[in-house]
Amino acid sequence: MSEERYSISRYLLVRLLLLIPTFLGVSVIAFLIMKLTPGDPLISVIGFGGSQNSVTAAALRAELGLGQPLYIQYLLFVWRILQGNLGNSIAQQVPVLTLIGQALPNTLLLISVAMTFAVAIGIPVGILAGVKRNRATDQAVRVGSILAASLPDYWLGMMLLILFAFYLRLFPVGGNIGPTSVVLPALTLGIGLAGLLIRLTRSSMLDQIHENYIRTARAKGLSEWVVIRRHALRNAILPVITVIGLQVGYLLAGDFFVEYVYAWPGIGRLVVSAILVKDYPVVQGFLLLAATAYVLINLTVDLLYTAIDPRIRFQGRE
Amino acid sequence: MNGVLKVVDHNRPGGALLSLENLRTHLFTSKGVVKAVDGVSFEIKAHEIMGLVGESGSGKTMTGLSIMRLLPSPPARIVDGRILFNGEDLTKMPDDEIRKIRGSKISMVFQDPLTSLNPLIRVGKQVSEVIQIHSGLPSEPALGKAIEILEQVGIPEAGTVASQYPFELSGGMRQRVMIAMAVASRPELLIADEPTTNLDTTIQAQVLSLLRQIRDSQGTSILLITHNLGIVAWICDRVAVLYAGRLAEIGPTNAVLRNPSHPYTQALLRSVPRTDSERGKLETIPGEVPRLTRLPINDCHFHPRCPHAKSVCQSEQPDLIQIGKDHFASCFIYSKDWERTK
Amino acid sequence: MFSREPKLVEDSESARPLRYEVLAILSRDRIALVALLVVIAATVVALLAPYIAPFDPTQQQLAGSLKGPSSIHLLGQDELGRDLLSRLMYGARVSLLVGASVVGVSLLIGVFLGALAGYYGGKVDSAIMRIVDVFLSFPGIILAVGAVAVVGPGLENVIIALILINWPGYTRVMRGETLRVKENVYVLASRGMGASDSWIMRKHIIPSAISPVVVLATIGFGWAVLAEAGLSFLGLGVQPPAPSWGGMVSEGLEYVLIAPLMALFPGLTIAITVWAFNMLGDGLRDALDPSLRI
Repeated sequence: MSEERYSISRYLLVRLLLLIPTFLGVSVIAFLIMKLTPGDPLISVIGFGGSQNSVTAAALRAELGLGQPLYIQYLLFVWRILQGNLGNSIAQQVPVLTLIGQALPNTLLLISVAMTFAVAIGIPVGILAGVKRNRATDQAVRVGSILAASLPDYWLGMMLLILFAFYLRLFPVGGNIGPTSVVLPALTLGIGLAGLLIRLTRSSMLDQIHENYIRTARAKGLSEWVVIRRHALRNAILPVITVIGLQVGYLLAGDFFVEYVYAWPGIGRLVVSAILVKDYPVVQGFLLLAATAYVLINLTVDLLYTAIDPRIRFQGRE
Repeated sequence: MNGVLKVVDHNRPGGALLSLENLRTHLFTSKGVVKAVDGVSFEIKAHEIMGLVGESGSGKTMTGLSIMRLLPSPPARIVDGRILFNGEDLTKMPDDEIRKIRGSKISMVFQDPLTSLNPLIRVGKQVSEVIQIHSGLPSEPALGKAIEILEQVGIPEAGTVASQYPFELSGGMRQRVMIAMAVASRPELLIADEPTTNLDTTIQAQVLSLLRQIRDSQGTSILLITHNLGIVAWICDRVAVLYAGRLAEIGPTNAVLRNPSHPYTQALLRSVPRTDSERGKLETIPGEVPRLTRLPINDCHFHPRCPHAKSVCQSEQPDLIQIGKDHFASCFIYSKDWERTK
Repeated sequence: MFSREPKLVEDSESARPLRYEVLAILSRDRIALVALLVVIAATVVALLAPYIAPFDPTQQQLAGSLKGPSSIHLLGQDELGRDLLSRLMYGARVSLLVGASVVGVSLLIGVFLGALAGYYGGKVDSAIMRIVDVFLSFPGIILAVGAVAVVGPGLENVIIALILINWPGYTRVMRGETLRVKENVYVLASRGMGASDSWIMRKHIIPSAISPVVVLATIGFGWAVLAEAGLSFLGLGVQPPAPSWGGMVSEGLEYVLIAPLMALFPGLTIAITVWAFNMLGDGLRDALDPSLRI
């Protein structure tokens, strides 16, 4: 057993080390964005008024390392980031980190509800569809799940808003003003994922049902239900979990359309507004954080997969 | 396995444990109907090791799966015939009753132990699962029993092995695990489908010995499905030879191998490479195995490749004709008027 | 003992070229055929828009502002009285152009680099795949938005940004397939005959490895259309008054309470077009890997 622990921690170590070049890449890109954006960089930090003041301007120029070689500026940039300084929002003159910190819980709430909805619908329906192997189900699942993934989410959001919020008056029109506010945005976000999960779970189940070990399980005299639950499901769920994990990262980074349409006060809406008014520090800060979160989430998913599938742990040793 | 031969009294007519009567199993595919098992009848007696021999596509695996009612059921179906076990017809049994038989009275061991074991569940648990279902024991004692059985099939340090996953074991060990799963409930019949094909030759011998031990000490009958006549020669009491879904020859192993009567059996034996032979060339059977979707109903399926074929072989199906004691072959050569037939 | 594998269900007489096999299977898949029709229709509309659109998409008719469908304006008019149907048709040109160029260029780069990485292995492989991994660790849409936010809106920028995000996916798949195909007997035979590397790559590796990449390309087309629409929705794509589907949805958002059809039609168009490409890719994948059929 201790051998197992050894290879897990080695695997972890290797993966963590691989993160470093990725973070480097992320930071370089963010830095380049900062350098390439038009406009006086000082304004984003101390505002228009401050930039006119020659004393503070000069001090800031020194701190930002302007006038020094590019790589020094880059290192200073990384240093600032590690200290948590992501600059200030031009539009609101508030540290970017603060804005993001305020908006993040809302986004997390939205994403959790959306994922819960998608998983609660997607996986059971997928299992059922996988057990029923007929043509009609096959076609329905194919068409339906692809359609769900093809809908532009902002458009879907708008249509749902009109239908449920205005005509039927079932839900509030926007913002986060009460417990029912989260329903429509979560539904909008979750539909595409639910479609994907139904499809994936079904095909994963179908794959497993034809495997030899299922035949062995039946040969032991197990009832079909037990065969599916105890044997097929365990193997079928693995790729689904990976996808769910990846989707968390994707949702986190990509829910801005939905937030925008529903005026949901999360980081997505923050970023979209920032883009529209060209508030670059916010955009840049968001990119950094989103990319980092995405990478970390993927790593977590991989580790989770390792914990569930014992075969992976031992591959590192060969 | 240590133990005294248990005399199990079954009181069966003629000592037959399992009896196939005119079994037909067809596969309904998009390219046509494959008559995988096309009217096969034979008996398996109590305490005997019976060999079922044939090339790939001869129907031997399908026969085994039919007995267990484990056919892949979108394409495959038993369309005719009876399978009598303990006086009951397995083909007509409802699902819940078949499940009680599977794994406890009749069990099966498959060809590829790596893919036939659940990769995510520890080996001990997979064995104890059988015990739990059929004996109702709770999980702890069932696991204990499972470890005992793993020992009995010759796995050293069974306690440690039980907590391992299939991919951690060698091929031979995995096959022993499968056998352990199959004999855990002391079945009356064990169907072994090519149990040694993917194993090294030395391990093959060990597994075969194990099967023989199981028959000797538990009285279990074994249906050994294989394409390898050497294995048959070694441990089978009787052997049935299948060709294109039909029975070509059946009889005691000695009789069939020393006096092969069906031209197909003769050709099979001739084509076994022998080190004591003076012939330089390897013998093959001319022609090809027929397309199973295009089989005529009334003929001897082997006639295109048979050196003795006459026109009757193309138009009628031969019955099983007695050659010697308990030894039958389905070939017109042994019919009364062969000399005069065209 | 001599044991041959009988061909139970296959026709072993002719080894038909893969293309025909694929087309045969595809033609039996009715839904994929529908998708194909939609794709063809969209392409035709996009190509012939200047000739078949009833109105000039930028021509304003303020008197007809926000009117619904009528016999002259089949889908109604937007807030400036412009004909929605014509705008949709011209929008198709943008969407399909973006899709085609993004996928086309990404495909070229991806296939080339992927084949190189897979075939030569070693340092070339490591170098290429490092870069690919870094790119792939970002969620695509974010990068697209970020990149365009920075370099400025406009059609060319959108296309370039989307290409940059897209090519790593093709590279990785192509590399995987190349590795798989590389060890095939006929490749070794060719090398034994003294064929040059580029000949082998062109004649053997790429044709054999290309199938999953093609599937990816069709799905990628759908993604590109969706991405362009999203960017246009945010105002980062094609600039007004030039019509684009995403932009039309965004315009429709303002008036969604009074004239919901204005936003409904473009969104529906996007959904159906993207669905068609995705469905086609799905059908292709099923046709290329028939082992999935039961």
